Amino acid sequence: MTTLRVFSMVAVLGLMVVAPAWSAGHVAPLVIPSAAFHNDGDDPEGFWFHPDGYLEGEGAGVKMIAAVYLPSYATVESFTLYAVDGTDSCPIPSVNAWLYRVEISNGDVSMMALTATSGASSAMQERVDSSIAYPVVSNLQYRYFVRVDFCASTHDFYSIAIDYSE
Amino acid sequence: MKRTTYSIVTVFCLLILATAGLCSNAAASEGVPVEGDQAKNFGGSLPLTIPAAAFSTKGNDAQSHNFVWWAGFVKGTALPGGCVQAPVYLPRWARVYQVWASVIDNDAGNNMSVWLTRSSNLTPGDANDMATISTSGSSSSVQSLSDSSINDPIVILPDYAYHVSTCLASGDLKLISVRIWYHEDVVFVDGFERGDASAWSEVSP
Repeated sequence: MTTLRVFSMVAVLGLMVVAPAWSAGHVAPLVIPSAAFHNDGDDPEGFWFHPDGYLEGEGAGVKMIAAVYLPSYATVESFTLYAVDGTDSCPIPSVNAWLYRVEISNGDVSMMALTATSGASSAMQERVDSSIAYPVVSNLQYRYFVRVDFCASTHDFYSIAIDYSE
Repeated sequence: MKRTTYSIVTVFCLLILATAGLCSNAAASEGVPVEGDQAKNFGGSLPLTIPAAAFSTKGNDAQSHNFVWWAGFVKGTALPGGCVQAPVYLPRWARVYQVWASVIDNDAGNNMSVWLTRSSNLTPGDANDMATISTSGSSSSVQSLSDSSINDPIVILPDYAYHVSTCLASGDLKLISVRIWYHEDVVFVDGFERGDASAWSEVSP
């Protein structure tokens, strides 16, 4: 009988340890395409969605917003912007991106990460911020969003990637 | 006899425990899974359903479409354009095998198409349609149409970003939802087949 108990305990413990390797659940990174971004009211027609899957400006600075859905207790490892920055000649000279969290109870906004393109070129820029403030996700206490600003028609914003571990 | 069986099973379980403890279970990270992390398994639910409410226009002609809240579909208006997009969040390494769309095309003069598109995060302007669904004719009924010929079906993150789009040229073209069906295959990392990494074969590495 004792042997049976030991066997059961070991078997259950074994399954508990092994199971996570096969039921890892969520997927990183979270890639937020430009199609997820919108501008509600501030300047809803100050940009344009290209069929190739990127947003571009129309000559004035525009702020785009997208919701971020991350699993609770995940740790954000990095925040990456993919964009082409074809000019510095615009009121907002670069493509800028921020990751924010908003405290549900009082509305306080905290910046978790920021990054931006640099210089002017027709090449894709991959800009990473790995210094994440408040990296642990708590969906009970906070909600999360990304803001991306750009300006010119040669500011092509493609996507945001948020890498995280669980 | 019974004790012997229990002992064998107990030792077996202990071996599993020890193996699990010794083998690193690396956390998901950007890029290809690290060497030694031989396979990934992903959770999720099928299908990925994208409701009409997820679609919005991006910029020009913001009034060229209209979400009908009491019916849950998005339709065109008399204004030109009517192109709307929605983000697609698929699991990394998933294999898309079908895309469905429920639509109403009651416009004899215009048809509508729904596209699932991937856009490269590495090469500017590199985008291709993975699936295309198109209507023809006109009918007041809901049509559920599909495309099972998926181009580049493997979801590669973060190299690509994914979205669905459609253009609604009139108020008689309505999009209700898009469903994306996918497999979550076991994926082996590059180099897993040591010495003969080009493909699976009978050649001994």
